[in-house]
This record gives sequence, structure tokens and C-alpha cells, in this order.
Amino acid sequence: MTGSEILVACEKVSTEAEVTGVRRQYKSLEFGPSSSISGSGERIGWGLRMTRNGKLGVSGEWGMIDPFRLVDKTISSCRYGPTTLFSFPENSPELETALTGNLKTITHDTVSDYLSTLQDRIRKIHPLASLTARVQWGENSFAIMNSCGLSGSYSKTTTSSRFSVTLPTDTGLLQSGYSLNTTDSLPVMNDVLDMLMLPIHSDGLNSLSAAGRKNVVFSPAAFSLLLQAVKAGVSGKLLAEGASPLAAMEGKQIIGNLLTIRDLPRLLSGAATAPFDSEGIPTRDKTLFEDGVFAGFLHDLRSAAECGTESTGSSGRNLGKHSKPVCTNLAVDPALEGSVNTLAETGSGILVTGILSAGGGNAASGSYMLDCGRVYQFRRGEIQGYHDGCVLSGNVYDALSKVTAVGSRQYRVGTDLLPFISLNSISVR
Amino acid sequence: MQKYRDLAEKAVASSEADFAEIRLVHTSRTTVIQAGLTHMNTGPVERFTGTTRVFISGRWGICEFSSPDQIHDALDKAAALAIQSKSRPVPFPVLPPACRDTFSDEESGVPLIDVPLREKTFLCRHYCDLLGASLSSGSARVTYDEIVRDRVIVNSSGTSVREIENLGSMKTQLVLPGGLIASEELALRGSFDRFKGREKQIVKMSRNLLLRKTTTSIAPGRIRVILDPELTGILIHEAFGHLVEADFLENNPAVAHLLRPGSRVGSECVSIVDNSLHMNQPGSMQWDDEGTPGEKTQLVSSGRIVSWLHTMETAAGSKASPTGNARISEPGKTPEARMTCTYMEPGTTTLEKLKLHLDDGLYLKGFMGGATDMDRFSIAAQEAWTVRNGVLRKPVAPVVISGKVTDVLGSILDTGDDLKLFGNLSGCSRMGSTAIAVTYGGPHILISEMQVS
Repeated sequence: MTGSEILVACEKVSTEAEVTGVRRQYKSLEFGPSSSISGSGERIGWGLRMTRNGKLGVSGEWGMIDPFRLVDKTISSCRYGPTTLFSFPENSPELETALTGNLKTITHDTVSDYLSTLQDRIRKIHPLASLTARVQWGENSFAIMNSCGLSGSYSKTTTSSRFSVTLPTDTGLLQSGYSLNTTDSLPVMNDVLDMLMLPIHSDGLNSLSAAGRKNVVFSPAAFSLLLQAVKAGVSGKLLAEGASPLAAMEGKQIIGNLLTIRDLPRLLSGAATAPFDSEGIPTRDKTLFEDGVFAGFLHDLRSAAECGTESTGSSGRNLGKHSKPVCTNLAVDPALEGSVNTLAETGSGILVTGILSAGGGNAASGSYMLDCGRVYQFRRGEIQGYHDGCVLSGNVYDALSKVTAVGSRQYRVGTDLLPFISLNSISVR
Repeated sequence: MQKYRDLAEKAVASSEADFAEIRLVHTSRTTVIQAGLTHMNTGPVERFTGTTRVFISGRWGICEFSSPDQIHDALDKAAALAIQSKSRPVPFPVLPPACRDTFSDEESGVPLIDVPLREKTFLCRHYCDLLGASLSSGSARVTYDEIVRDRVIVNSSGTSVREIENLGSMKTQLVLPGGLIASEELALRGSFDRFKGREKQIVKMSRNLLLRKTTTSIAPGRIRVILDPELTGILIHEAFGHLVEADFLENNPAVAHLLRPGSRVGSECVSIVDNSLHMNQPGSMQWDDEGTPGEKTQLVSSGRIVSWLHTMETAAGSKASPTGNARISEPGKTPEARMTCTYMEPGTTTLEKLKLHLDDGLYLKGFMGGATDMDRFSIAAQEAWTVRNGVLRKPVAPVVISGKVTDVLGSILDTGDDLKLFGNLSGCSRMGSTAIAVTYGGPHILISEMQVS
């Protein structure tokens, strides 16, 4: 079955229709201290979106596809769908070559060897530490066509790696996790070690109090969670709903001038890289904050129509779901000089290496309440002690306006590219 | 699915592997969202996935496929991966007793999928109107989520089981300007009727949020608290349950030693079970994802460890029996030992009597978020009320409770007589994996002291 067959089935029942197809082929390795399991797999799915009687409906199927069932379900979805505010695009995106990384060298054996070496290096630092991991690599293909004449497709390689280290210590069980996605080969092992071992300082540290207003250094993994509210805030959907704290703030200084934040859908080796978005609109790299000044929102076709502007090629959606504007590869520019982890520049404060729980915040307003589990206190750039059960709270835009230092290199966290960051006067309980 | 089950039975029968297993899952997911006056629904999104798993000479291979006509090919691929694997060999799994049976929620009422979409849509709008009517500003949102799952597990040891689950959830949420949130979720397995007639709870939720609007913060510190049944359930799930999942313990021998059966982890009043046979709750399973029958597993009795949660593989490694806790978070992945419906067993003390033990403390209600790193836990409570001399006084700003797992169960002074269970369709994620449906619960509990921030 092809997308055009589904479009034909929609001809007499819709004003406009759009079909998307996804195919994922992968291999995987699940790794533990005592054994590993090799895997492989394939997923195929089709999504259908149509306008009918002025309403927008969506549906999708994975696996066994029945085009007529898909059409029926989408008609049903139209009945209760949102009002159609836009037409599907007519112009096909330019043909792109496949976005391929170097996956030819990856086999179950090379991944197994890589993880065994990583485990050995971790155990050289902490003999009781245990590593569990899952690495999945393969090719994703995406295709789109609509009844207005647009069609496009691309494929890309992806490697998705998830690591977890557990270490029993005298002061409790320490655990750290690190996930990253690329289109490349396996991640650089030193980067993985940096991120995994950072939260695991077990030797000779005392428990210290950390309450009050503090200088706080966020590791890239912790920074990524803090940025969730910013990702929500720059969404044109939130703007259209009247809920964005960034409404009417374009051109204004919102966060510290050390921060430049970009959305990079064209980033080489970015796992969220794509030549066009999930509505077929060509993507382009965008600056969201330039030296702390808010540059503009991300839009898909619907939010653009609601806000009277153009799509920025930022549509993202899961199969069978409505589109919404999303960040792709979010990148924060590193400092041109200075230390990697900003501890030296900050002097004294606490280092947050991971967030245990982000419950209690509100992405729409920017408020956050982050329970950090264990944080580390540092003085003169050196870690001196730890504090368990530390809660940071406040508003993310206020917090980011107090940036005093940015690390001099980026690390991958999920699909983001982030440096360490140092903020002052953060409420710590 | 029946014809694909027959196909799978024939395929495993022809396999020459030491052990072969095929899982076929068809899910249909529908979401209805009413946010203020805006309505949006998605789905149903249908999904068929199949996974073959093969054990040869101590090594596993696994293969995901997307169409039933690929069953034989996927079995061959899994076998090839097992043969080529350079993993250290592991013991042969402890197999469930051979069984050929089918279980469907249809036997216990009208399945969710047979309730018309318009009825679900109307109910969401009705509840959202009720929520919105109580607010002069802020936003109201009602989300209905429905998953109908048809699961077949067939293996070469004679198991062929099929279970059809109807899972539904309705989440009501109010957000005031400034970010103060109240949310409640009712998740269930089986009939749609339990979503009806919730007007009183919804009005009560609105009133409670407005009461909390003018709250003051408390100074962080170690405070004596009473947790409501929902927070008790979360505490048990996050602070203890994940620790007795045997695949985690298998990878962490030092922790496994600390939590060996017989070791003390809590006070005398602490007894905890995992019971997958509460068939009207999410997470319940007649058979787990390896075809092992669901059961009630006593995890802790009078403060001492009794058992861990096992899959077929972890049971083999620990010389134990599978407990029916093998669960798949994503197709193509190995089953993990995960909780189903986990709760603290009730005691005999009423809530009023528990409060008498609070001269100066807090009564905490409702769950807003939480997690564990297996040693420390953190739980955000929706409501916090001061209690003086056993009497509820005034609400204060939302708080986070945290602590070390090993400390908190030992500091439980008494347990209430009022067991309540709370389900969640995507309530439990472990180390970044896709969330699975679980149920948690317990009675009110009195804790001598815990960190409140």
C-alpha cells in the first residue's frame, strides 16, 4: 500500500488530505553487568490528516494498515476536531539526499565491545559501579504527500544511547543516567564518562547545608530540564492560546546577555535534524534568544494562522496526532573561553548534576520546582561536600537572567547541545 | 487477533530453539481534550506490533516486526542474533506452567471502545464547564485517554494466552494565574460507568484550590506528617517498589544483599504487596508479558522483606519463581520486572486517631510529581495543611517531601484503616523508558519525621 492509495481513498470525503509515512529499521543491544541481549526490528506507520466540513481530523496506524479504516477514523476525528484555519501547502520541498551518518561500522559486536570498555573504565574509577545501557541504531525514513500537490521524503540514520550507572557508597546508593541521540556513530566515550561520572562523587565528602540564595551551576543534563519551560514558552501554540509568558516580548532582553539559544533543525549529526517539518515546510535554523534578547516564536501552520504569521517549519507530531510547534536540536552557544564546567568562574556555590523530579512546576508560566536529589557544594572551584534533598524553585526566565558564566563546550543531552551554566541568587531549599 | 495467535502457535511449534516466544499486541488509543472552550481529539491510533524472543545455548535474541506475515522471518532473525551473541550465557528461564486461555474485560461490562465518542466528548465538556464555572481567572482542562489492548503471548513450552484490556483515564486540571495547580486523575480498567457522576468531586477540587490560593510557605525542615492514601501509594511505589524489581537487583549485588528476604526495611506496621489481580485497576494482568499468571506477591511483611518482583529470567538467576511481573515498556525490548498494583496494607487506626498524634505537624494530600534515584526519593504534594493538637488548621503552599528510602519506611509510626487505590495509564517510567500503566495506594500513614521543603 502507498500514500497515494490513501489519498485516493480520501478524494470524495475531504476538502484536503495529507498522508505521512514513517519507517524505522533498527538494531539494538541491551547491556548489563552480567549479560547482553542483541535485538533488531522494524516499524511502519501511516498517518492521515484531512479537512472536512471546515474541521481538521487526524488518525494513524502502525503495523497492519487498512486505508479505508484509516479514512473512516479520520472522518470521525473531523467531527470533533478543531476548526480548519489553513490550507495544506502546495510546494514540495527540494529533494534532499539522505542524512546519513557513519553507521556502517556499528554492529552488535562493536557496540558490545564499546560498552564493555566503558564499563571497565567506570570500574577503574569505582570498582563497585555497575553500568546498564541500551543502544539502538538504524535508519528512519519519513514521507509526506497531500492532495494540494506537495510530496517529499527523506531518510536519516540515528543512534540512540541510554546509559545508567549505579554505585553503592557509605552515604547511600548513587545513580546517574545519560541519554543522547545523534545521526553519527557511537558517542565519544570521554563525553559519556564525563556526564555519567559527574554526579558520582563518593570519596571523602561531608554532608553540608545548602539552603538560601546560592550560586548554582547546572550540568548540561540539569540545564536541559530547566530549559523545558523555555521550549514550551517559545511555542507559537502557547502564544495562540494566550498563555505564553513571552507574548509581545520580541526584541526585548528576557534572559542574561551571555545566553544565545538556537533551534537547529539543519544541524549536521543532530538526531532531530530534518530538511522539512512534519507538514512538509522546509526547516531552517533559527535563533530564539540572541544575547538574551528574545527573537521570536516557533510556528507550525495552525499556530501561524492563529497568530497571523508564517510557519517557521517547526511542526512536530506523533503519527495520528495533531501537529504542534516544537524545538528540534536546541543549542545554547558555549563561551569562547573559560572553563568547561564554570566552577572556577563561579567560585563557590552548588553544582546540580541531575534533577530527580520536576513536579510542581508550570511550563506555561515558567515557574519551576526542581528536586535535585543530591547536589554538591563547591568552594574556590573545588567540590567540598554534598547535600541531599535539595529543592530549587523560582521562575525560569528570572533564573536565566542571572547567568554569570557559560561553559566553554557543549555536550549532547537527548537532542540538545548544551554547556554548563552558572546562575546566581537561586532559591535553594 | 485469534488467527494471528494460531499462526504464532504454529511458528513456535516449528522452532528448534531451546525456548521461543512470540508476543503480538494490538492497541487502539484515543484521546479527547477539552481545554476551556477548545476541544480536540486524536485517534483512535491503531498499532500492531509483534516481538519474537529466542533462547539458544544460554543467550537471547529478540526481534520486533510489524506484520503477522513476518512471524517466521522474525523468529529466524531472533535465533540468528542469539547464536551470534557474544554475551555471557545466562540460566534457562523458569517457565510458567503451560496454559491456553483467553481473558477479556468484555466479561465485566460494556468495553470502553463501545461507548460512542460523543458520549466521552460530552462528559469532558461537562466536567470542564463545571471546573471553569468556579474560576474567575485561570484555566480548566479535562483529558480523557483510552487504550484498548489485545495481547497474545505464545511460547514453545505450551503457553498460549490472550488478554483484552480496556484502560481509561480522565484527568481534570485547574491552573490559577501564577501557576497554582490542582489535578486529579481517575484511571481504571473495564467499564466507562465509573467516569460518570463525578460532579461532586470536581466541585470539591475547585473549592480546595481556591482555598489554597491565599497560602503561606512553611520553613523547610524535618516535620511529623500524615500522608493521604495517594501519597502513601506514591511513597511505596517510588521509595520502595522500584528497589525490589529483581532485574535492578540482579545488576546491583550490594543492594540485593541489603534487601535479601528476611532483612528489615520498615517498622512493624509496614506490610506491602504487589497484586496484579485487581482486575478493575490499570496495571492489573491476568497474565504478564511472558504469559506467567498474575498473582498477589507479599513484598514486605511486618517490616521485613519477603519477596522480590520477578520475570522468568530473574527468577532463574535468583533461584526463585516468576511472580507475574514481567512487563514490556516498548515492543522489541526485553521484559522488565516491574510493579503492577502495589500498595501498603491497611492497619486498624482511623484517620481521626492518627491526627491526634500530630501536636504540630502537616497533613499532606494529593500527588503532583515524584521520582526516585533508587536511594533518595522526592514527592511533590498538591496540598499541605497544618495540624495543631490533632486539629486541621490552615493550608500552606505546596511542599516537596524527600528522604532516603531506607529511613522513611522505618519511621512510619502507624497505618490507617482506609486502603484506597489510584491508577495511572502512564504512571511509571524507569530510567527513561516508555511509561507503563500502574496502580498504587495504601491507607493514611503517620510518619514520625520527614524532610519537607
